[in-house]
Amino acid sequence: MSVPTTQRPTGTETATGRLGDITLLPDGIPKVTGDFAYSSDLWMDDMLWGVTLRSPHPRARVRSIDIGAALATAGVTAVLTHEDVPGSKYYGLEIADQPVLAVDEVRYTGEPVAIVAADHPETARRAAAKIVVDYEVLDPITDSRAAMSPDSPLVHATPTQDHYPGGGNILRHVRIRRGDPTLTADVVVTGEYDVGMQDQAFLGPESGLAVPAEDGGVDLFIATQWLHVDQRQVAESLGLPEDKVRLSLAGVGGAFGAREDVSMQIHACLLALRTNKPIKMVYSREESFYGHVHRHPATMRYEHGANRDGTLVYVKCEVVLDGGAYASSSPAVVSNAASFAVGPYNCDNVLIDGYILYTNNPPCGAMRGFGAVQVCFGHESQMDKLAAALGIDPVELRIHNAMAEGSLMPTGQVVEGAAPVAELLRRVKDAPLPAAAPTDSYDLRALPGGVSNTTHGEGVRRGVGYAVGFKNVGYSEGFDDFSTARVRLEVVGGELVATVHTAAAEVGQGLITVMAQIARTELGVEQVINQPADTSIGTAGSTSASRQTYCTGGAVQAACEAVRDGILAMASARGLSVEGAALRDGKIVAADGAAVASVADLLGEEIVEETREFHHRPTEPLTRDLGAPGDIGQGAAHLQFAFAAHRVVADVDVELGLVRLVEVTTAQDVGKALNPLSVVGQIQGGTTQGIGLALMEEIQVKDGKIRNPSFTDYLIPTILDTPPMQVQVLELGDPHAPYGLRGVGEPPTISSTPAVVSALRAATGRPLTRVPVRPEHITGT
Amino acid sequence: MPLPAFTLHRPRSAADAIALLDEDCLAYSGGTELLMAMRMGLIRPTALVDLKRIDELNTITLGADRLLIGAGASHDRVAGDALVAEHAALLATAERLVGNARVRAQGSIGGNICFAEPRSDVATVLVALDATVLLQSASSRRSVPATEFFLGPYWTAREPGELLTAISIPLPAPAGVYLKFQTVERPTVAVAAVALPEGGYRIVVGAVGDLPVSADYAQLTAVDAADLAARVEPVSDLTGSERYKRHVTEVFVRRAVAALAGGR
Ligand SMILES: Cc1cc2nc3c(=O)[nH]c(=O)nc-3n(C[C@H](O)[C@H](O)[C@H](O)COP(=O)(O)OP(=O)(O)OC[C@H]3O[C@@H](n4cnc5c(N)ncnc54)[C@H](O)[C@@H]3O)c2cc1C
Repeated sequence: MSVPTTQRPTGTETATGRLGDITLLPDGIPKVTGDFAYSSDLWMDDMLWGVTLRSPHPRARVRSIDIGAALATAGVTAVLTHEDVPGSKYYGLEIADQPVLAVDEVRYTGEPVAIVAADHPETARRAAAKIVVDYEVLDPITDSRAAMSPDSPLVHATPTQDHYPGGGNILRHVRIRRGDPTLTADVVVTGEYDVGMQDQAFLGPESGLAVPAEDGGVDLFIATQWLHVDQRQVAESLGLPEDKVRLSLAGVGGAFGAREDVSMQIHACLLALRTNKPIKMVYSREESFYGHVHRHPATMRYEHGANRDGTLVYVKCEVVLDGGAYASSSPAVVSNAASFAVGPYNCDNVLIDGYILYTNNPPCGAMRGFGAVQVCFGHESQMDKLAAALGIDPVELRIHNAMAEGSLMPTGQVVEGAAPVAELLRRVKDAPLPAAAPTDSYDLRALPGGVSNTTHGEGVRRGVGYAVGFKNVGYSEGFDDFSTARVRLEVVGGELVATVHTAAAEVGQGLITVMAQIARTELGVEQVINQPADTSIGTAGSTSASRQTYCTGGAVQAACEAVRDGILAMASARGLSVEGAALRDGKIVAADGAAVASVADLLGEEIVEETREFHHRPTEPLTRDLGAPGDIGQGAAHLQFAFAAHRVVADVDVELGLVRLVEVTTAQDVGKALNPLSVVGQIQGGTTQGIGLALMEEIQVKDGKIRNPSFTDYLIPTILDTPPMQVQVLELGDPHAPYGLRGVGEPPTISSTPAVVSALRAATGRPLTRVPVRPEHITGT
Repeated sequence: MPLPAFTLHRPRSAADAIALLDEDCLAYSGGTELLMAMRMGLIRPTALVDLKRIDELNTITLGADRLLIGAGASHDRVAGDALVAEHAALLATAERLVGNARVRAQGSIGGNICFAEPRSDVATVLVALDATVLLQSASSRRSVPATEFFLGPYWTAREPGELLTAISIPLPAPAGVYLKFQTVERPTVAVAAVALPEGGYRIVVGAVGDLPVSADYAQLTAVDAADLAARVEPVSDLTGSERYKRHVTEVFVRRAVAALAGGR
């Protein structure tokens, strides 16, 4: 097989450090300096360029596609439509409902219709523009609540009832009932809340290189979150066995959920096999906004009933998520939204309905926080409202109802291990507050509007807000969520070297560091090499659900233990006493601390290599409503819960509606910080992504079309929008998890959004029931 | 969208450039607007005349009673120029705040006003400073006041055969305050408030409507922010509703006036 060239670092270089050490990410500096080799940097001299023709309509019948003029363009080698898809014409993470190339109907603006290969990307784009598609334009279905009506036209003529009993455009309806939600309470607050469509806004656009192989298969170099789930879908659509579709991870420029679904993977492979040339595809920034799923917009209705002392009596919630045109991971997202709808609080009587709808809006799927983000904005807004109605301090109200170890989820699941909700809240509340707003500051950066010079203090008011949230770590509802690792120990050039091989995708979160730290610690070696991730080894599962350190970390640990056992067995076979011995500093060290032998000497020319799978504890599917009386939507569906709390201090120019965050304080339990530097990085980054949703990040969709597919109009926080953060990391150890760790990546994104809005409410007195909060929501104009 | 094919001319003098310009052959300076518009199919020239190699368009000179800024000068160039800082500080302030670093480095002051995108800092300030623009064709030269140059969105008094050679700012130029509201890369509302050298005050509200709205007052206390906000014609877009933009206009005029009165 020929391999594309990248002279530049790929981030697989050895890191240093043992478990618990502050360890620099080897890919960090090259990414900042621009030296990192991203998937879009892949190159082969004889490669062709692939481009995609996309639907300009959110809903239309495709009457015909004429590729003649495009194919006749000089420099064009292939133009393919759905007719050229040899295997399954549909793909999908859970439900294969998404056409590889539009068949007879397009269901969202930007849906791929045809693909072109040419010797230059500009030639390919010009040829694509010559493809004539005859569309019969239909009225798009764009309002998710209207789409629920039995009278609504259908987005999919054959809906997916066989997967989930929804009906019509309802892709999935999750019902959770526990206790007696018909109770009455002293104080009742209701609220309706909306969340806009957030984008993952990764910086490295969808890109990869597909290389045809001599055995009739294809090698794909790709930025993704889960090599094996791509491999399965690509193979099915190419009509090839999986071993003929080999994937290698190329440099990933951010993911945040947007790389769970297939984008250009199948397209590039189709073109490579048709042209028998390597095919490179790179989306433009605009195309990227059409090329991946987004965070589901939500509309939520809540009712909370509480006793005078603040104790929650019941919570009712209806959450409607807009899934867009195709299923993606929507069924799992709505399950999460329902599971976490009440928040980390005790409440015996719950009635929750989560719906996810097919519409002709852009498809939505995974994004950091995965369903918990939307409902956290709902339940935390309600807790603030309830506190005001009761005249109780909002933090005290939360602490009064806080979940703890042994609490029950709305699904009846017992919360095992530490659930330090009250402690996290106390910590952020007790942290010292920043100094008062400057009254005559000329440092514009400290004022709302920043260097835009919009205020010198006029109209500025300060507010403080709090929120707490949680979510599941790992895949839920009975999914066998596992990872595979191979670890090899050998002597290379006189030095002991451990090589770790997994298919786990490093997407910037720091897994490669953690894997090397584990091997270094377990095997007592200095030199650890992370072999590039590919499909020549078994699956690692997805880099998502805050699960990769848990699952792949667990697999690396297990493989290391097996290697260690192999070494000890070798030693024992040579008559050495290794009872209770460990590997440290290149030596076998007996229980009493005495060095028994040098591992390098023992190994000589031999290699010890072991492969292990790590399966996390099984979870249960939620019980379905089968007409039987009693509680429904019940079950221990989740593996582990991760909690975080935020306090936000904001200065608001109430006349203009501009916001300056003064400071964020956050506390999170991570079980055990394997690399404290990455942990803090994840918390800062995740918090900032939540700030983005609170204040600016929204894909604006009108009549099924994205109005802001660029970083000119889709804004994400820059460093000037990011306040100083006080990060408190708790290490309360989960006895069921490898090293006691708890997933870190998502919780900071969940509670930061409502905490920001809570601060804005405190500053302005306005209800602010929608995120992102726009300036005009604050001014009321 | 791909960029359609065109012929590229690279003259060395303004005269050579002017000889080439017509309806299908357009001036091309930084290309920051032009190339985007061509990609979107909004403009379809058959040829472009690259102005970047014409030195005489890139000079900034001080005359007896005016400051002359070459049309090809980039925003960065204008923002950092010592003569501009000394004689037309308000323009330097506004130029420093244009768009982003790339646009300031590549985009020209002439390209900004010839394209006449309404969300312009430059247009707002030029109206406040009583600037005129110098237009030259094969057969004529004329000088047009900024207030008469801008006719509407993407529409100016320039004829297809005319090259904008320079912008002329009468001296002494008024001094004052420039405030703008900008959440994306172009301004939503821009307000210039200046004390006129001959006495009195001028408020210009730009970027928010089709054209800058300018009003002169004998006293600062006579400025009626609500009246100015009622006179602009904003359109609802991603940066705010029409109502919100009027509201911001009013607040901005009030703040600009307060800043001017307070000597900030
Ligand atoms: C992302 C972005 C952000 C921006 N933000 C701001 C902002 O905050 N504030 C602001 O005021 N502006 C802003 N702008 C506008 C920016 O100032 C202009 O794009 C730039 O100044 C145009 O200059 P140019 O040299 O690139 O013009 P070009 O794109 O080369 O030309 C623009 C038009 O002017 C014509 N033209 C150019 N020069 C001449 C000449 N000498 N004689 C006759 N015709 C001529 C061309 O034919 C063309 O039609 C922004 C633009 C972008 C793309």
